[in-house]
Amino acid sequence: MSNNLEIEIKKPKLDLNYTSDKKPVHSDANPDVKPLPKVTIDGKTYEFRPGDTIMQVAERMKVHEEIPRYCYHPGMPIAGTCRMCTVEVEKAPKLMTSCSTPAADGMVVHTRSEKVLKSRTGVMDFLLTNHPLDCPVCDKAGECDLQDYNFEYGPSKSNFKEEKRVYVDATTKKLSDKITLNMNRCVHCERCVRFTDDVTKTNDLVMVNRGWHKELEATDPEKGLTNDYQGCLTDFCPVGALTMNDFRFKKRSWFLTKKASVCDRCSKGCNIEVHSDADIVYRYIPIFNEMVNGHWMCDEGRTSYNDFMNPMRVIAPLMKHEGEFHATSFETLLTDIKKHVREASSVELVVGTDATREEAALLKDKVPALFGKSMNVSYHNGFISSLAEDKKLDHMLRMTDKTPNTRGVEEQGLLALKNGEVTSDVVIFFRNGRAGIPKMKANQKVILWGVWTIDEVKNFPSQNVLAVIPGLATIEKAGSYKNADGIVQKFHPAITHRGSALSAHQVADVLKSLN
Amino acid sequence: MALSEKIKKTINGIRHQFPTEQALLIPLLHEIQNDHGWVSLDAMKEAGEFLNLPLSKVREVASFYTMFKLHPQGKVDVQICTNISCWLNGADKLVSCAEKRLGVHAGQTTKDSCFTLTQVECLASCGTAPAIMMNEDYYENVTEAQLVELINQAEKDVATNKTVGKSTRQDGVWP
Amino acid sequence: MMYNNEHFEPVITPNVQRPGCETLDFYITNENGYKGLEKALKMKPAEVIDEVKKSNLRGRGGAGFPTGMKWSFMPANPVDANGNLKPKYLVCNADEGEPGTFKDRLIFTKTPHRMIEGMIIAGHAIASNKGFIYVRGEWFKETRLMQKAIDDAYAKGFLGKNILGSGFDFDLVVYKGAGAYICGEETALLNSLEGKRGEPRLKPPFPAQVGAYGMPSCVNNVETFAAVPYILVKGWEKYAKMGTERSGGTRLIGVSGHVNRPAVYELPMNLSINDIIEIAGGVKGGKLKAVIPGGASAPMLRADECTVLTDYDSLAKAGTMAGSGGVIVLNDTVNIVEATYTLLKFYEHESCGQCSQCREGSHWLARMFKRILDGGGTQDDLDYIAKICGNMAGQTICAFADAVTGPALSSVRKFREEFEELIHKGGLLGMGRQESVSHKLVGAHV
Repeated sequence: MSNNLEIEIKKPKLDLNYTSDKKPVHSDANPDVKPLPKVTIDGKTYEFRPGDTIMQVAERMKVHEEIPRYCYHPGMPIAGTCRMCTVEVEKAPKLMTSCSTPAADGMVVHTRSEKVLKSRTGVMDFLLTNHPLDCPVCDKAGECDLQDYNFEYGPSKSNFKEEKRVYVDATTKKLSDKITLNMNRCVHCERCVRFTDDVTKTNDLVMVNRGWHKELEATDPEKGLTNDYQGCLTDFCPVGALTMNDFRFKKRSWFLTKKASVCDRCSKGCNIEVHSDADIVYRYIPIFNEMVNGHWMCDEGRTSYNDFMNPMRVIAPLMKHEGEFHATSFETLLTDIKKHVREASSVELVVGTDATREEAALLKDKVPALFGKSMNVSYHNGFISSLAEDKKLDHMLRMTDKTPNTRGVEEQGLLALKNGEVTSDVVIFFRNGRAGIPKMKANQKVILWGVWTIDEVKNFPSQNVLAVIPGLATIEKAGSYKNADGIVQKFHPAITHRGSALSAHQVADVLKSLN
Repeated sequence: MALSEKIKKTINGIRHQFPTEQALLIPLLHEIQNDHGWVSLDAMKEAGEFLNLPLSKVREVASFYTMFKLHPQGKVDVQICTNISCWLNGADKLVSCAEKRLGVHAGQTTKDSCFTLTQVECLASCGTAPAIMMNEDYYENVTEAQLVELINQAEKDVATNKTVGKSTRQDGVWP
Repeated sequence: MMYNNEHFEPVITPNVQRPGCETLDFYITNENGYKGLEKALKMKPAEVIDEVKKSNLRGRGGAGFPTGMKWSFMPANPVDANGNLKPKYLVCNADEGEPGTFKDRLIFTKTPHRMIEGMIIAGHAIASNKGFIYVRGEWFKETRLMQKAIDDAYAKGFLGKNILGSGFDFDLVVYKGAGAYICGEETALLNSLEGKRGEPRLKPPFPAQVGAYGMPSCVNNVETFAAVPYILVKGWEKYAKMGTERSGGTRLIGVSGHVNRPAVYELPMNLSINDIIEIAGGVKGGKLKAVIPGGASAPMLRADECTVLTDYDSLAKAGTMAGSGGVIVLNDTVNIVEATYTLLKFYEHESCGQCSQCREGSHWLARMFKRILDGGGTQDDLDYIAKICGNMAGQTICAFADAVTGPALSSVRKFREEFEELIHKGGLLGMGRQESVSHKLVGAHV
C-alpha cells in the first residue's frame, strides 16, 4: 500500500452537455506566485493563497469569529444566495458576499462594521418572518445556525404581523426511511440540493417552484431519497428542516458529550464524533478530514453505533456449563479456557480484521504464550478474500471491505486463514463485531472473544461454543486502524464501557496473573 | 408516451443550433405543453431521458416557469392581465365578468374541462389595455362584451373540435 | 412640434404606420435597409465600437449603460484552458416583462429587420459569429414573425456565411422563454437560455467573461440594437446631437394607463413628463395624480413633480429613473395604495427566491399592503415599510429587490395621507367600497 496520498484540488470542469453555474469561475490563480498577495481584514493584514475567497482567507487565518453563513459549505459549490456572509469591501459600491468574492491584493475588508451588522440583522429578520416557532419541539435546537446567529445578530423583536407560510403537505414529510422533512422550517439555502447534485451526484432532491413558495421535494416522489449519504443532509442543514429519523426526539443536543473516534463499518475509516450522554451513544456525525473522508460519512457507518448499543450484546464473561451459558468472572472463565486449550491437540487463534493494530500484535506475539500452548495465528476478513478485492463501492467513500483494519492486521505479519476454513480442535476467534465468521465444523470447540451478540453466539455454525470473552468496541477503547488509503488513524475511547467487558490487554493481564 | 415522434423530430431539428443539450429543455417543454395542455411527471421523465438530463433538472425548470402547467388544464386557457396598466383600465372587472360567465374562480378549470381562467402578469400590451390571451392568441382593448363573445365563440369551436387560440401556429414549422 | 430639438427625427419608427413595413423588401426600399451593415462590414470592429461610443447610445433595457463601452468590454481573443479559442455570443434581450413597457413588441412586429441588422453589426463589432434572441414565451405570434424575418434575411444573404462578401459569418437563433419576468435580468436570461431556471448569477464574473454556455457574451435590449443601423448610416454625430450631452438619440416611450391615446411614441429626451402626457392625448377620466416614469420599478412621481425632464440624468436626480421608458399615468380616481398593491403582487409572484431578503421581503410587503387595504393597518406599519425596504435594497444578487422598493417606498413617502386614511377608516370597505381587494391568486401557479 503506497503512502503517497495525493489530494487533488479539482478545478471545476465545464461539462458541455449540462453546465453547472453555481461555481463562479475565478481567473486561473497561480499558487506559486511570490510575493504572496495581501488582504486586510478588520485592520490586520494577512498573506493569502491566490484564488481564495475572502471567507476562505478568514477561515484559514482564524480571523476571530466565524463569518455567519447559511448557503456556503466548504464541501459544495458556491451559491451566494443567503446573503448572510456579506462583508464590507472598501471601494466596492455594495456589500459583497465573502463566500464568492475572490480576495485581491490590497483589498481592505471589514467584517463587523455597522453596515455589515445591520445587513445581518436584516437577513435574520427576513428569515424569521416565516420560520415557525418550533424550537421546543425541534431536534435542531441547541445546534441550530438560525438560533445561534439570531442570538448574535438578530432582531430581538419581529414586526411580522401576517400569517406565516405553511406547507400543508410537507410539515412532517418522510422523504425516505431515514429523513423527515419539515418544510416550514426551511430557509432555502439549497445546500441539500447542491449536495445531491454535485457531491453524491444522485440528483434525488429538487427545489420546485419559485419565490416564497419554493418547496423541497424528492425528485421522484415514488422513490423518495435513495442515496447512501442521507445522514449528511441533516449535518449541514442549518435549521431543523431535514432531520434524521434515527435521532428524532431521542436527546436534546446540549446534553450530548462529544468525543472523536473512527468509524469501523468499512475500511475507509471515516473520522466520527461520537455523541453520547451517560455513556449511551445517540449518534455519530462525521468530522472533517481532508485525507480520509472529507466532510461526509455514509449512512451505514452513521447508524452503526446501534450495533454497540444493542441490548443483546454480550458484556459479561460467559461460560458454558451443562449446556447453558452462565455469567461468571474473568478468572474463572480464563482458567476454564486454559484447561480446554492445554488439553486440545491443535489450537488456532483467528483474528478478525477488525482488531486494532495493537490487539493484533498482542494476539500474535503474547497470547499463545500466556495460554501456554503454541497456536497457529491467522486473520480472517469474511467480506473479501484478498486486499485486491477491496474496491470503492461508489465514487465517494464506501468500500467493499466491511472491516476497518485488514491492512493493519496483515502488517503485523499475520497470514490469512487458509481457505477461510478452521481446521483445529479448538478455535479462539477474536473479532470486534465486524469481521465475518469463517467456515467451521459442527463439533469444533470454539472460544469467542470480543464483541458478540447473544444471537450470534447461539446461532454460531459450530454448536460447541465453550466460552465468550467479552471485549470492547471501537468507541470504547484506544487503538489504531490502517485504512484503505494506507493511513494509520489512532483513536481514544469516546465512551466508557458500562458492562463487564475488558480490553484485550486487560484480559492478557488477567491471564498473566493466573500463571 | 408523452413525447410524440413529431416532437422528437422538431427538437432534433434544432439541436445543432445550441451548444448544450440542456438548452433544448425549454423548447421541449413548450412542445409538450402544446401537445397535451400540461406537463405531467411522466412527460418530465421522458424529457429527461430524451435529453440526457437528470429528472431533478427537468422538474426544477418545469415548475419555475409560469407557462408550464403542472396540472391538467381546460382546452382554452383564458389569461387576463391584471397588472398595473390593465388594472387601471378595468382588468378587475374583466376578471369578475369572466368568472361569472364561466362559473369558476380565477385559477380554476370549468367542470367540462373546456376553460381555465387565469390571472397573468404584464403581457407587454399596455398601450392597448386591457389585454388578454386565449391560449396563444392576444386580444387587445377587450371590453366585457367582447370577452363574453370571445368565450362564447371559443365554446362553440371546442364543441366542434376546432383548435382555439393557436391561429399563428403552423404544423411542423418551428417555432 | 413642441419637441424643442431641431435635430430630432425618428430613428426606429419613421414608417411603422405604413402597411408592409415589416417586410424585407420594404426595409430595403424605403429605410436604407442593411446599408448600415454594408458600411460596418467595411470598417474594422474597433472602429464600429468607436462609432457607437461616440454616439452616446445607452442601453434601452432599463439600466442605461453606455452601449459602446459594454461592447468594448468583450475580450479580444478569449482562450480556454487548452488554448482553444472560445466562441463569443451576442444575446438580444427581448423578454419585455416590465409592466408598462411595450415598445419592443412594436419593433418585433413592425421593424424586425432593423433589430436584426443591428445585431449583425454588433456581432461584427465584438467579433461574435452567433446571436441568440431570447423572446418572452407569451409572444407566440411575434416570435414567428421574427423567425420569418430571419429566414428572409438568410435568403437574401444578410445572415449566414460570408455576409455581403465580407468573410464575416453570423447566425441568429430565436429562443423562447416561458413566463418569468426575472429572465429580463441579464444573467438570469443567460441561465434561462442555457435551459435552466432563470436565476440571476453572482457578478463577478461578468457576462463578458462567463456568459451564455460559459462563453463570453454581450446582452443588449431590442431597442438598443434597433438604434444601431441609423448610427452607422447617418453617422454618430447626428445621433448624439438628438439627445443630451451624456445620452444620445431618441427613446421609445410607451405611455399607458389613464391617457386618451396610449401608444408608443418616439421622442427626444428633453421633454418633461407633462409634455409627454400631452402628446399622448392628456389625462383621461380625471385629474393627474401620479406618474410612474420608467416602468413599474421606477419610484412614482406626484402630479406636481411632473415638470422634470425625461433624460436619464434628470430623472435620476429627481429620485426616480428613466428605466425602460414605460410611462404609466394614474388619475385621481385611483387609490395609490391599491395601485401599489397591484405591483407588489406582481413582484411577490415573480421573485426567483434565491436571496433571503427578496424572497421573504417581497412576500411580506405584498401581505402588509393587503392588510392595510383590508383595514388591519396600524401607524407603525408605515415606518416598518421603510425599514423593510432599507434591508432589501442593494444587498441582493440582482436589482429585483431594489425594484420592489421603488413603488413600495415612493408610495409611502409621497402619498402618506392615503395610507393614513385607510388605516384610520378601516380599509377600503370602511371607505365605502363594495368589496375589498381581490384575493385571487395569480395564474395556475400557487
